[in-house]
Amino acid sequence: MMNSGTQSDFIRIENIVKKFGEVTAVNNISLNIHQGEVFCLLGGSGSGKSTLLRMLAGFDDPTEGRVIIDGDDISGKPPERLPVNMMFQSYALFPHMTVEKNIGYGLRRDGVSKAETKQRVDEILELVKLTPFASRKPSQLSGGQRQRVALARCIVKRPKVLMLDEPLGALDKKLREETQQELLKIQRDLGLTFIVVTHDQEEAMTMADRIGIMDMGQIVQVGPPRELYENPNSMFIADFVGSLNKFKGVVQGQEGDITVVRLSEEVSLKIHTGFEHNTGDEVMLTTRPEKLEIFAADSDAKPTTQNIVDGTVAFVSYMGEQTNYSVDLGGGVIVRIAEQNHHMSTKVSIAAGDKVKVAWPARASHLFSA
Amino acid sequence: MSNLYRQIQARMGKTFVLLPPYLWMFLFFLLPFGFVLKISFSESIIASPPFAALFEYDADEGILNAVFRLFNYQYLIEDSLYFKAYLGSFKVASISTVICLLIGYPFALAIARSPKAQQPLLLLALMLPFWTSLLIRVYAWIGILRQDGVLNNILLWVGVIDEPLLLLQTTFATYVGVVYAYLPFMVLPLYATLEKQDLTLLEASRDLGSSPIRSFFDITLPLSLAGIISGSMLVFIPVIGEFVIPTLLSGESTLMIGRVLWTEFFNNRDWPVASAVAIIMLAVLIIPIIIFQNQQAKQEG
Repeated sequence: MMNSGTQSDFIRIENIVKKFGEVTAVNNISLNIHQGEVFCLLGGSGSGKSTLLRMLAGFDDPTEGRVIIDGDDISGKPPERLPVNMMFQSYALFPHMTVEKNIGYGLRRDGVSKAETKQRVDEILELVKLTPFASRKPSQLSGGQRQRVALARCIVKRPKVLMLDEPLGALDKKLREETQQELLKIQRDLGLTFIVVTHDQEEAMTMADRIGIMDMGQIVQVGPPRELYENPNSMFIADFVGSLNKFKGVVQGQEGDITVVRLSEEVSLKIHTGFEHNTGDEVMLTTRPEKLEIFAADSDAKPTTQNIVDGTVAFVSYMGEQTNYSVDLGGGVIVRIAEQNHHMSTKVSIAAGDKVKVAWPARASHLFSA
Repeated sequence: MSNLYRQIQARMGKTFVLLPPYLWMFLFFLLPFGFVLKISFSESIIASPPFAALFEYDADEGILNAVFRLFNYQYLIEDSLYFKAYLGSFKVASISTVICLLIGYPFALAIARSPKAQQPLLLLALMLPFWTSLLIRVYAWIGILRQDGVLNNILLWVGVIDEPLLLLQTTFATYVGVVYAYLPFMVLPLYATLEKQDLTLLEASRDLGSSPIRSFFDITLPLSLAGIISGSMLVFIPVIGEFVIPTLLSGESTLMIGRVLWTEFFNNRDWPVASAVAIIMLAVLIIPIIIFQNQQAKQEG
């Protein structure tokens, strides 16, 4: 099949399996990655995401299956012969070489002439704003600068795919946001394909065009960030991405599109999931804290949601941009609510112990089988 | 008030910690060195101790006379034996160091890259020979190298040679003995640097387009320079003054400064000349020792 260069299956991972002795680290993954997209492999430690990345970079050979990059089967080829570069989590800068030498290293190994190397290195230095640091050693750079050297060292080779292993993991929060934007700008400007591995769902959400969530060596769901967040296909995904309220409940009945779920003696909710559910089923009901709204019990506001539940504030924590409330709805049902703190907010007076009502839209929840 | 007290206490504590090593160096290095230096400016006489006093107190005049005699050093320069001996030591030490490096590097790399759990065992095996006295191990080499020894017998039996080779009492035997005895001193510092190396650097260089061999020369080798220098110094410096191995294995055939020193001291009982020989040897060794120290300081800094 000679379909190189086509957009949607630039990288084809076909039924790939990796076993280390008895342990199956990657269990039959098939995946297509498009040219020019930022694809994020998101998973906890031991989920197999790093093993998958190492196979794509050529450091490990798959036990079964194959990987095709731009029409070429890369199985069995050593890393130095792949059109793929990796930005390591530790950056792996060569400590005995200057910034310039580090960046030029890959070009020299490819047999690019000294003059052309110099020119291309200078261009990239300009791009990552490191020109004044060209003759420094990595140990004389800050964390953010090192990260940019690591990036420059890869992109100077114009790889077909750039793998980034926890690219922002070693940076502090402020620097992360800046760096993230710089990374994406360079990615877009050069039209690179990024495969990012991370355990940080926030990083994945903000960077990725599509995310593949991995668990136990398999990809559990693939999709754009919004889809994963709003329509998780399993309890695992719902719980993994973002914060979540989860309750055990029993389906009480179906009224048209509305499913009634009882969480406790005191609390029953009307839920719209787009599916019908069997009465008597035990389910897990999930909802995101920011989908709910809190009002003081004596407030004049008339929320129009299908569910308005009475409760008592158990806990308030002020986070700056938002405030988190824990509200006891009775019968052991405690729900977390997150509200943005805009300057008009009348809710500043809500404190622990106050009686409140919680507006709970019917479409804000998902049901999973318990 | 209590702050000042604490400061004084801290300073005293620091002095207390530093005192023993300084005291040790003073008692066992600087003081004896002073004696040797003093004797080197003296004159050999038949007495006990067998050298003339450097300082004489003239009770009548009430002054202290000091006579520094430079002829011992002049003698070392004039008699070419000493220069040849220094040169011989230098040659043996240099060549042995290079051989130790060539054999020791793969050794150290193999240990450093073997599974973590196996490394202590391999290091133990490396150091196992130290549990036997050096003298006994050198005697064992006599048994191997002599004309009716193990090696010649094997070579005769295999048919590589028709008559026994003369191995003992040659400079070759000294190289065998020295390399054998000093190899661990090369391997250990090399292992220490190689073991600390970040293996992702090698992956990075592969990723950027280097073959494994190229990666070795670009990354592993330059980053182990500190270990190479440490190991080389640990072999080179003691081999310069080596006495036992060349004496037992090479006899008269290898001229090294350690033997000259011994002869001057014990056979000729010329302590002043022996002292001068020792002082010059030290002066020559100071250069590599300073390199070694610098490297160590750099490594730690």
